[in-house]
Amino acid sequence: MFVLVALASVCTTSFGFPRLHGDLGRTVWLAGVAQAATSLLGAWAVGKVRAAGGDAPLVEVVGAAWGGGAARAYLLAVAAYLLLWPPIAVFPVTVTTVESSLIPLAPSWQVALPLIAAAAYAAWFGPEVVGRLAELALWVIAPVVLIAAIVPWSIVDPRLLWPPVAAAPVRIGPEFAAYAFSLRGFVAALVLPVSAPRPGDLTRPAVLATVSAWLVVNLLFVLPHGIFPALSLPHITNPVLYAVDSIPTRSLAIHSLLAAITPVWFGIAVFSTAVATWSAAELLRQASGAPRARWPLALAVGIDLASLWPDLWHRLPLLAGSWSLYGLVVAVLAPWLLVAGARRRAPALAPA
Amino acid sequence: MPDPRPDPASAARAIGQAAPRALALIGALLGRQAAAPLSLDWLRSQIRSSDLREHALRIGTSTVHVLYLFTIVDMERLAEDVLRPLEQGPAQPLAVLARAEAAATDAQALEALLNGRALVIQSTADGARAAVAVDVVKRPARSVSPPNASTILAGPRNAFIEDLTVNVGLIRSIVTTPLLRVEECTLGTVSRTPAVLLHVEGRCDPDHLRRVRDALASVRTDYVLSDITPGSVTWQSGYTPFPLSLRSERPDVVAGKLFQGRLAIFVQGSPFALVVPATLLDVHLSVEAPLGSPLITTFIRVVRLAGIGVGLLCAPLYVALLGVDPTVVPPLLLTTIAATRQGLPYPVTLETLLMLGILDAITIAAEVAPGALGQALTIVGSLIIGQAAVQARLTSTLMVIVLSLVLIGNLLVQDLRLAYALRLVKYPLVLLASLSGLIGLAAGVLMTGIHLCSLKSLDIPYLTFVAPTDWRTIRKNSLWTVPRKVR
Repeated sequence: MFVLVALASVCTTSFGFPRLHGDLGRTVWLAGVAQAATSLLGAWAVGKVRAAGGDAPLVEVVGAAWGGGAARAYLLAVAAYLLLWPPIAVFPVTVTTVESSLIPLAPSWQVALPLIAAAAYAAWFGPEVVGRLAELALWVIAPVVLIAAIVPWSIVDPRLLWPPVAAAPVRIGPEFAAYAFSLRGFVAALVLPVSAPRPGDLTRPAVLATVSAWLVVNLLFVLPHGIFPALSLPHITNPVLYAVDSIPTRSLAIHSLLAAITPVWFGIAVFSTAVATWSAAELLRQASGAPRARWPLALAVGIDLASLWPDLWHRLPLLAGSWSLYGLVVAVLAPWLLVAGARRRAPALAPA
Repeated sequence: MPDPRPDPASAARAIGQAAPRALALIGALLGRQAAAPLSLDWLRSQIRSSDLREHALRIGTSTVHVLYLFTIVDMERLAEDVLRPLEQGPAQPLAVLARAEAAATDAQALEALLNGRALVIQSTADGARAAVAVDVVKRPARSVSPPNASTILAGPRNAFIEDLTVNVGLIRSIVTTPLLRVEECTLGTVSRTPAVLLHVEGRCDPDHLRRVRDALASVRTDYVLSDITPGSVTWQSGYTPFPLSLRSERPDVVAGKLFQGRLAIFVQGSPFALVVPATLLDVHLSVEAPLGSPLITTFIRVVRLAGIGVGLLCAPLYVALLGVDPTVVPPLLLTTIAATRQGLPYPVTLETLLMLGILDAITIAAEVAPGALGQALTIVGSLIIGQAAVQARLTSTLMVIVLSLVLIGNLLVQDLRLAYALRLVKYPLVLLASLSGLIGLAAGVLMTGIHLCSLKSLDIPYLTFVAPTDWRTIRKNSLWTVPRKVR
């Protein structure tokens, strides 16, 4: 669970907020701190909810606090959030990452379709198999992330990046809100359907994973944003990677190496999509009372495939900001209401 | 000169004197079991073979019939342990008793006959019959020899043979604990092949033991000729090419697994033991040489694990980088590679699939060909086909290098079933790489990983040790396990 949540957190880090750095400059770290705080808050609440419920299904846990009808409505709301998350955030970010590498440009569906297929196959087996795959992949991903973090620094020409000053913060706008509050709701929502055999089982790994992911993301991406001037960073994805455009030819091999490890980010996207798909299917199953998650899983895969339609493909990412705030409500704030409601209506279910 | 022929009268007297002792022997062997109405005619009708022999001896008022299949019976032991005691009284009754057991029903009597025992059936005047089966089996078998399926650089050189008793004896000679349990069973509704299940009591999971017993009892095939059949019928799923059990011909390996709480199955006629549960690392890393140093052992393991990756990914990576995503390759390297492929009449994907197919055909042919012919095939494949194909511009030199790496990767996998599984998985990866390049290859590798993660041997995840990560096992079996100083 720890590995899975950590990987999911890394994947859901936004790469596509081009105005964020321009707005915040050196104080872009504020966005990172806000992200961490949101994540911890959500994970803590979800951990309390699961610890109180034990191994009871989530629909019963929520129903004990809010009643049966409200419980099903809430589960449907979280499921809808998770169902649309891959098409809104994961697929476009993955395609953008692949297109920004040296891999030749190809139709978006040629990247998204293998991703959906692999994620659906993993989701079919459930979180246990996806978790094992994440542990297995960590042996490959961890060295790759280290390479991606360290190697560019070894060849960059600092004279092109000097002086290390950034523009003063201009404003904290909607980009900040989306970046800060968005993705961690996803993390919390992942943990909701998973039953906890022992109290506190999920809180610690979910919190640790979120903090670890926050550290990785901020060291790899946010820190460079905070150091280098905006003018030297035409693209927000990885400032060091783009700065190497101006350095000697020998570094083209490094370019190739970094491009060759692009599939690793693809793999992380598969984990994120798989676990979101399974979680959404499980929530739909509990909300509907279905004995198996086959049809919810088919629905989730169908939605993912439908998002490849050109009209939808270009419009869905525009919903990222508002969808992020929706996730903040259902996956971060709502669990706290659940905890409060549990204390008031069902003391037996109140967390210790 | 005295007549060498025995005096019939004295012979009859001798038999008459021996008869009570012989009958007493049979009585002792039978114990207090009630005589069941065994049918000689039924036994004869079941066998109906020319190698069935029958002797009828009149002892007192009883008739003793001795039945046996002479092709699987040690005739000297038969004469010494069965016929002579019946004719002259037992010289060594305890020795005979040790190899005899009662056959209370027709079915037991038939099974004893078919398993190389001599049936001694006593018929009394009132028609009652009772039988004992004396073990005088002599199956044709080779002697214990070094293993054929693997090369031993350091370690014991004896291997299992086709005889069940010898194999169990080899295990007993290593596992000398009284907790070793040997459970007999028969497999195959028609073949009735003897098999045994070994485990060390207190070490194996009781649930695993129960499941294996149930699985063996549920084998419903007509015949079982080797250890593969129980595995393929029971816990080996038809939807995966990856082996879910360890198949070994080395007693030291099997004994080690028994101490680790695994179960071993031996089948009569097979020189291999089937060990369950088995993870991927059990199957792939169980036969490295015990060279003592953890550094060397870790090095060997890393190389062998890397072999899997190289053998599996070399060819699809070649297709992905040269056929779909050439821009990822550094320009200088790309120029060099393009020069080697100049003039080839077909695309990278077709070239790769063709050469992989030829390589697999040669490898499979070499595996089944006898010694000298196998070496000749290797020479034909490597020198003639590879070199000739390059000179005829049917393939590139880089492709030959890729094929060499693939072959080395395959050879690093000692378990034949695992090697074939990896060869099979290579082809879909090549096709995915040809469709979507590195992304398609990544998706294929992930799907292979998902499949492996979904597998379980009994209830043990197939990738246990890395997924889920078993840090205790890693610590005990890896680089940083250093022996303590001897005080």
